[in-house]
Amino acid sequence: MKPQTKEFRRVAAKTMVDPRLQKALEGVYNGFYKGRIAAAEATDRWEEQREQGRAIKEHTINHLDYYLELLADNVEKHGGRVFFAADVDAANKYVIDLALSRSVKTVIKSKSMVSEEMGLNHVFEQNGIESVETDLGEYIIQLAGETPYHLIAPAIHKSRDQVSDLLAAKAGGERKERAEDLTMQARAQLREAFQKADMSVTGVNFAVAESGSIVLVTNEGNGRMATSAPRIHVACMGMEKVVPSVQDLGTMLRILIRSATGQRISSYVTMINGPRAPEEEDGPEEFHLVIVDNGRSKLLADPALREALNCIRCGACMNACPVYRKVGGHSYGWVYPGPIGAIVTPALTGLKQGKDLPYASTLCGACREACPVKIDLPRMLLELRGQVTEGHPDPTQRSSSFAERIVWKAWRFGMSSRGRFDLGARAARAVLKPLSVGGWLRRSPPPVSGWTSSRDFPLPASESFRAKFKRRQSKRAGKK
Amino acid sequence: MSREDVLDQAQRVRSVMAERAGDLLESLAEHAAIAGWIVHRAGTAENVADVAAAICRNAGIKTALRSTHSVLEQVKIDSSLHSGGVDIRVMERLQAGPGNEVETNRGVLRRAVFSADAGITGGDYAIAETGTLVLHPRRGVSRLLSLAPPRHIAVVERGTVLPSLDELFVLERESMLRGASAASMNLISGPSRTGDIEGTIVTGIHGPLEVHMILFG
Amino acid sequence: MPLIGHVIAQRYDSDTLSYMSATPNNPSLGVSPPTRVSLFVTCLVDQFYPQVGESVVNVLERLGVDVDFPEGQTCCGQPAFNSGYRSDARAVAKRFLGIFDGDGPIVTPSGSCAAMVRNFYPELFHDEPAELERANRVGERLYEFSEFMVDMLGQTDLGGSIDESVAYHRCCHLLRELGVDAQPSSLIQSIRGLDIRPLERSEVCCGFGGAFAVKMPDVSTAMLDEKLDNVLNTGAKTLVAGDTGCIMHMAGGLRRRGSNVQVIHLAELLDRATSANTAERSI
Repeated sequence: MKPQTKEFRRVAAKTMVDPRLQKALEGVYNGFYKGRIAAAEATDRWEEQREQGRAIKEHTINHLDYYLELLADNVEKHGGRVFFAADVDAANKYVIDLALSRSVKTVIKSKSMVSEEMGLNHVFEQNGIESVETDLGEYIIQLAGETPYHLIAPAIHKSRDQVSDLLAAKAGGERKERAEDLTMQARAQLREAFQKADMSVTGVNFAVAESGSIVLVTNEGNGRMATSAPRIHVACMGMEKVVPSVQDLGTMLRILIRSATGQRISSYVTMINGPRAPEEEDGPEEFHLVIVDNGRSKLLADPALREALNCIRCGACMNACPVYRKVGGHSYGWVYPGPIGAIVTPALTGLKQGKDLPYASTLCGACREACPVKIDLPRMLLELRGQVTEGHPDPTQRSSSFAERIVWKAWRFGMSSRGRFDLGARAARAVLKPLSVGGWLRRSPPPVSGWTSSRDFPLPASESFRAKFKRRQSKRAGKK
Repeated sequence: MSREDVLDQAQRVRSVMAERAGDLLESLAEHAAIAGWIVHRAGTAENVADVAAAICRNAGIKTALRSTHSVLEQVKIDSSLHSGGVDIRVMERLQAGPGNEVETNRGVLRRAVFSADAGITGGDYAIAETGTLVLHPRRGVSRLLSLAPPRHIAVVERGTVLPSLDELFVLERESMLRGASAASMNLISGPSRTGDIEGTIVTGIHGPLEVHMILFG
Repeated sequence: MPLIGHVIAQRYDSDTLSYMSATPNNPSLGVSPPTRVSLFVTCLVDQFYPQVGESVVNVLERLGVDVDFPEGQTCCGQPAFNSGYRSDARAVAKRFLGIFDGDGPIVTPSGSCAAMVRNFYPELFHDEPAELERANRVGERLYEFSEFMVDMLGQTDLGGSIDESVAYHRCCHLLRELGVDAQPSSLIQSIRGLDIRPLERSEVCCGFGGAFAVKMPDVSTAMLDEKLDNVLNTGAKTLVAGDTGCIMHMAGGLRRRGSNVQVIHLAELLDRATSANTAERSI
C-alpha cells in the first residue's frame, strides 16, 4: 500500500468536521476503550501478565534471528513451506507465483495487516485472480475501495446506511437496513466465496517457534473457514510476530484479546500446525508461511525503536488515544493508525514524508498505559521527533524548517540567562498589552499565532514570580 | 526446562482435571454462558440424548451431521434424534460411492456440511476460565462440522475440563513432544459474531449463530 | 520438537522499562519531614502565573516549611525536547542542573516539568555520564507539589474550607508519567465545604501538549472542546488542575466561549482554603 503520510493534516482536518466520522469515533471511548479497562480489572494478576508479555516479546525480538530460524525449521518439519520475503515485492511474487502455478481462480482472505502492506488484493486483481476479503469489516472496505480505519475494526467509520448501499450494490440492488439483515446479506455473499475458493491468505496473530505453529484469533469464524475449506493456505506474517513457546500462548492470548475488544476470549482461536493430516475430512493440503521483513529490520537495528516490534496488533493504543479519536484512521496515511502507526509508519515508509506523524500527539501517555505489552510509545515518538529535526543519520530524511530552528535557538538564548528571560517576558508584555483586554489577547504573535484560532492567550504577568518573591523576602527582612 | 518437566506438568494438569472435576464443570457452566453458549445440564446418558433431541425440536433442526466422539455413541444420540425426526448422520461415514475414497468423498462431505442444519460434536477438552470448547480436528472430527452449519451442539463430559488456557497449552506441549499432536486445534467460545456494522453485535456471520453446550455429569 | 525454556520472564531477566517514575528515593530524609525546600517554580508560572508560585510558598510556609528560590532559574528544557530539538534542550537542561544541584528537596508545581527532569533527563544525557549522574542526583530530590505535600510532609488534611463547586482535571504527565493521582485527590477531598463535581473523562488529555497546541491547533482545539464540554456539564464554578500549561489552554478556551468558570492551580485552591488559618497574606 502506497503511503499517504504527507496528507495527515489535510485528512485530519476533513475528518474533524465530518459529523458521521466524529460520531463513529466517539463510540470508541465507551466501546473498545472502556471494554479493555473492564476486562483488565476483571483479570487476575493483570499487571503481572502484562509484564510477562513484555518480557516475552522483548526477549524474542532480541533473539529474533534464532526464533525465526527455529520457526521455519519446525514449519517445514510439519509439512509446511516457508518463504522469507525481504520486502512486499518479494512476498507478492511468491504468493502470485504459487497461485498461478496451482491454477488458483479465487482467493479468500482473512484479516492480515501485512497483506495490506503488500497491497495483495490489487496484485491478485492485476493477475486475473479474484480475491475476496472475508472479515466483514475488511469486506465492507474492500467494496468501498478504501483502506482500514482501525486495526481491529477496519470499517468502524462506516455508518449502517453506507454499509446498506455497499452491500446492495453487490446484491444487484436488494437493500437491507437492519444490522442483522445486512450481516446475513454479507454472509450469503461470502458463503459462495468460501466454498469455491482454491486458496486462502490469512494473517498470523502469533507464530510459535517451538512447534512451527501459527495462531489465528477471530470472532467471525472467517479465519477458520479460510483454513478449512480451500486446498491451499498461505499465511503472511510480519517477522516480529513470533513467540518462542506454546507455553507463551496462554498469557499472550489473554492480554491480546482483552486489550483488543474487552472479551475474555474471542469466539475462535485456531492453532495450525501444518497442512491437514491426510485422513482428515477437510482442511488444506498445502500450508505456506510467508515471513515478511519490509523494513522491520530497520526497526530492529535501531535500539531506540526496536521496542516497536513488540507490538501484538491489538489496537488498544488507538482506542486510548485522544488524537486518534478525533482524526481517525485514514489520517495516518498507511496500514497502521494511531500511536503505533505514528511510529512504525515513518520508520518503515520514510521519515521525511511522514514527519507530521510523530508530532500528532500530546504525549499524554494513554497509549502506553493501554498497551498489553507495555510498549513505551511516547518515548519512541520523542525519539522520532529528535530524528526529524536533527538526529536521523540520513540528512535527506530530516525536515526542520529554518524558521523553526531559529525559534528554538532564540528560545535557548533567552532561557540561558535569567536577565534575558525576564527582559523577554517584560518586553513581550509591553508590546502586547495595548492589544489585550482584561489580561488576554485574542490574537497571539508568532510563533504562537496558531493558539488564538480558538483560545485566548494570556499576557505575561506584570511582575515575574522571582520579582514578587524577592520583594516578599525583603519586606520580611525589613520587618525583622 | 526439560522434557521431564513438561511431562511432569502435564501429569499435574491431568490430576487437577480429575480432582476438581465437579468445580471445573460448574465454572465452565458459568463462563460458557457468559461467552454466549446456551448451556444445558444432563446427569445421565439418557438426559444428554433427551436434551439434544429437545434442542433439535425447539430449533427446527431437521438434518444434522455428527463427529465420531465416543461420548455421542455412549449416549446413543442417533436413536434419540431419529425418534425426533432428525436425519442424523456420522460425517465420516458419508460416502460418494462404493469405493469410499477420501477424494471423491470430500466433495460429498463439503456439500453435506454446508447444507446441514446442525453440527454435533463431543469435546476433546473444555476450558473453565473462558467458557471454551477445544476440538482437535482429525479423522472423524471435521473442521467444518462445528463451523459451517448454523447450529452447533457440543457434549462436554465431566472430567475433561481444564482450569485455564495455560493448562491447555501444557497438554498441547506434551502431545507435541510425544509427536502426537493434531494438525490443528480449535478453541470455540460462543457463536460466530461480528460488531463491524456500527458496533451492533450480530451472531452467525460465518459460523454458527447459536451454539449449545450440554454438560454431561 | 526442541524445547524452549518457557516462562521467559523467569529465565531471562530483562531490564524493566522504568517509564513510570517511582516516588524519588531521598536518602537524606530521616524520620522527620523536611523543613526547607528549594522551589523550582517553572518558566510558565514565573512569567505568566506568578500567583501559583505565591500560593505554593504560602501553603508550604503555613506548614512550617521554609522556601528557597534559586534565583537564576529559567526552564527545565522540556519545550525544546518535546519538539525534537535535543541539543537546544540539553543546553538549557545543563543550566538547570547547575542551578539546582545541591541538597534538600526541590518542589515544583508542575507534573510535566518534574517528569522532564526525573524521567527524561536520563534519556537526554544517556551518553554523558557526568551529566547523567548529576541529573540522577537532582532528580532524586525533585517532587511535584501535591506529591511532596502528601508523601513527604504526610499532609492529607490541611484543615481548610471553601464554599465552592469545583471540578478536577487530571493532567496527563502528573497522572501517567509520575503516577501522582491519589495525592491531589486526597488533598482536594479534605477541604470542607467543597462541592466536588465528578468530571466525565477526567483522565483524557485536554489537548495542550506544549507546542502541539500551536503545531496542530485544529486537533488541539477538537480535544479542548471535548474537555470543556465535559467541564461545563459539571456546572462547577471552578476548574482545578495541576499543570499551568493545561490551565492556560483550558482557561483560554473557556474565556473564548465567554464562560465565567475560573481555572486555578491546586496550590491556589489549597492557599485559598487555608488562608484563614493564618494572618499572613501574600503580596
